[in-house]
Parts: sequence; structure tokens; C-alpha cells
Amino acid sequence: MKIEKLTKKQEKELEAFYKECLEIGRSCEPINHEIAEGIISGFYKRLDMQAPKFVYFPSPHAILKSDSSIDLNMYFGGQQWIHWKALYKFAERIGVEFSKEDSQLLDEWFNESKHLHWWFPFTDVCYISERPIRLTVNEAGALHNEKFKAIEYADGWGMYYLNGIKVPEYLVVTPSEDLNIDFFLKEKNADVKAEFVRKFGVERMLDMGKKVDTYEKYKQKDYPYWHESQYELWDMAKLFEGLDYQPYVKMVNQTTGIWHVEAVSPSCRNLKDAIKERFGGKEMKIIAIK
Amino acid sequence: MNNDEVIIHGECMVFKSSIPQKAKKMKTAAQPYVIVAPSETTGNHHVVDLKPGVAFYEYEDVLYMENEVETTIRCVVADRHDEITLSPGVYEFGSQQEYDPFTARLQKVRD
Repeated sequence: MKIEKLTKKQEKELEAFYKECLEIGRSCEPINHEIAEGIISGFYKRLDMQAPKFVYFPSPHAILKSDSSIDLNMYFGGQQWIHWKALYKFAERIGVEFSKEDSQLLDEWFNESKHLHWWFPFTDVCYISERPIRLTVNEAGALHNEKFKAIEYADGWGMYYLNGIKVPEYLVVTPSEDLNIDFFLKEKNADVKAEFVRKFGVERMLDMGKKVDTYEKYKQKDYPYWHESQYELWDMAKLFEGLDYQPYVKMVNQTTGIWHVEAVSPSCRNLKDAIKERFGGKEMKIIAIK
Repeated sequence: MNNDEVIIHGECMVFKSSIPQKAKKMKTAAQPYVIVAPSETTGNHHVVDLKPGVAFYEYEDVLYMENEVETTIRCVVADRHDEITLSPGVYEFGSQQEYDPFTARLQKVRD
């Protein structure tokens, strides 16, 4: 049976199932060791192998640190790999037929996601990581935390994220009013810089500069996307010792609405020069931008 | 799309182009998409969806695409840039540049 379109009822079921799987994927509940070991032992049995010795670690990092011969090609992702199991499982729920054996195997893998985090199986031993103790996201569902690590494990290992962008600890833990502009000047990554601008405040940042050129000077019918992106050229030389002129392009991301402020060379005296330089020295007309 | 026009998807630029004679066709059979601009921070790469009628070529580290059917350029997770439809044609992919005031050099924008 080929399914071309979901019924209204199936659409509702999909919504509920998506939510259920998302909760599994983000769960920070402690792992039930007995259930986890039963699931993994089942996989070993399928391979005619005896159940291994189970050793628990507070984080995947702790497992990798414990033995230099272990690498990232050796693990199963448990809850973090639920996406592919959810796809097949929902297909089965709405009528796609699997063989009895495949269906049973899919159930086992779905359970693996439900009850496990990362695990590294070897012949005689299986290393299991406990779940994180914190995992926070923003409204869009991207990893995000404005005070702490967005994902953190019991041993303290984890990562700082702002709006889905992995950022240095400094950018998260430093209050906006104490942020130092030097961080922005030295950062190489465009997304991290954009998160700095978002937290620092674009107006506050440009208060330190001087507007050189603006999209408002160009006709909207000739430069529609310059208007949409609100391109402006700002001289931020005041931030650099010994420089008389250091232009930056200010522009807004069409999808997220966040501001990007990125440097161009001092040879750029207006927006035309700056955009041409950003395009590799080619004078080009933008016909779509996202 | 004319030769002097460009589509911008984040730091990724898409131009009208032609496939260089020495370009090699990429083997993409098992992939759902091709990464046209990698993201080092999030893994949220800029990608173009593969489907029958979409072929990729590579020459001197530059990616080219010939698509007989519409396809899309998007991010793996669409929270940073919405998708853009690419009409049938031949395209070349590039990256915008930014200036590093400390080294006084131009470099590819990285995200």
C-alpha cells in the first residue's frame, strides 16, 4: 500500500508522536540500568554473543577520556538517534508493512533510544554513558542557555550554546553590560560574532562607530535586497589602535532577524565597494537572499 | 538568472555558471544532499537536495551543479536561513569574503 497523503487523524497522530519522540531525545531522566542492560544484552544475543560486563560513566566525554583507543566510530547514540527510528516506527503505525522480524528489530532499536544515551559496545565490555543532567533549548528548539551550559553532564562536561550556536563560555556567563568588544574583534566565526552582537546590542556597538553609507541612499527598485538586508557601512576605527579607518558592513539576517556586523577592507569607501569585495571582487546583483 | 546575478544563502553564494571541461562528476548516489558550504560551529551546513536530474561536479575545489529539475539550497536545520529554490540550470557555489583587521587579509566567511 502506497501512502500518498496523511489523513487528518494521522496528522494529529504524527504531531503527538513527534512530541513523544522529542521528549525522549531531550530526556535528562537517570537511566534505568536494569532495562538498559536487558536491551543491550538482547543485541548481543542476536549476534550469538554473551552479555558483556556493563561499566557506567557520567558522560560520553568520560568514556572517551578513559581509553585512548576508543573513538567516535564506536558508539550508538540511544536517545540522540531517535530520529531515524521514529521515521520507520511512524510509517509502521500508519500502515507500512514490515516483516515480523524487521518489526521486532525496530521495536528493539526504538527501545534502545527510549532507555539509553550513548553506549560503546565491545566483545566483553560495554561502556554506557549516563544522560545529561541539563539540556535546555530556546523557543525554536535549538540548544540555548543564557547562564549555564546548555547541555551538561554530572561530571561537569558540557557545552555552551546560544540559539543553537556553540559559543565560548565567556559569551554566556558574562553579563551584557560587562562584555568586552575585544571578544567580537578577535572572534573568527560569523555566527558567534552575530550572537555577540545580539547580546551586546547592535545600537550600543555602533555607538562606537560612524555611519559611512546606507542602503537608504540607493533606490529600492535597483537594490531591493540591499533594502531588505538594510545594508550599512560603518567606520569602527575607534576600536583599533593606530587605524584611521576600518569599515564594517551591518546587515540583518532575513530568516532570524539578527544583526551581523562584518569587516571589509579599508579600500571600501561605500556599500558598492563593500558588497563587491564580499562577493570576491565581482560586481553582482542579488536576486535572492536568505 | 543572468551572469551578473547571485543568490545568497548565508555566507554561500550561488552563480550561474558552466561546467569546466576538466570537472569530475561527483559520486552522490547514496546521499540525500550535497554540502555546498560547511558549518564548523553547528554542523548546520548549507546543502543542496539531491534528486534524479541533479548532478554535482568538482574542479579545483569549486563545486558546480547541473540540475534539470528544481532543487533547493537550505540548511540542515532550517533555523538560521530559510530555503531558496534553484530553477533548472548550471550553477557554481562560492563563499562570501570578510576582512580580518588584525592580519589585514581577506578570508572566507566562516560559520
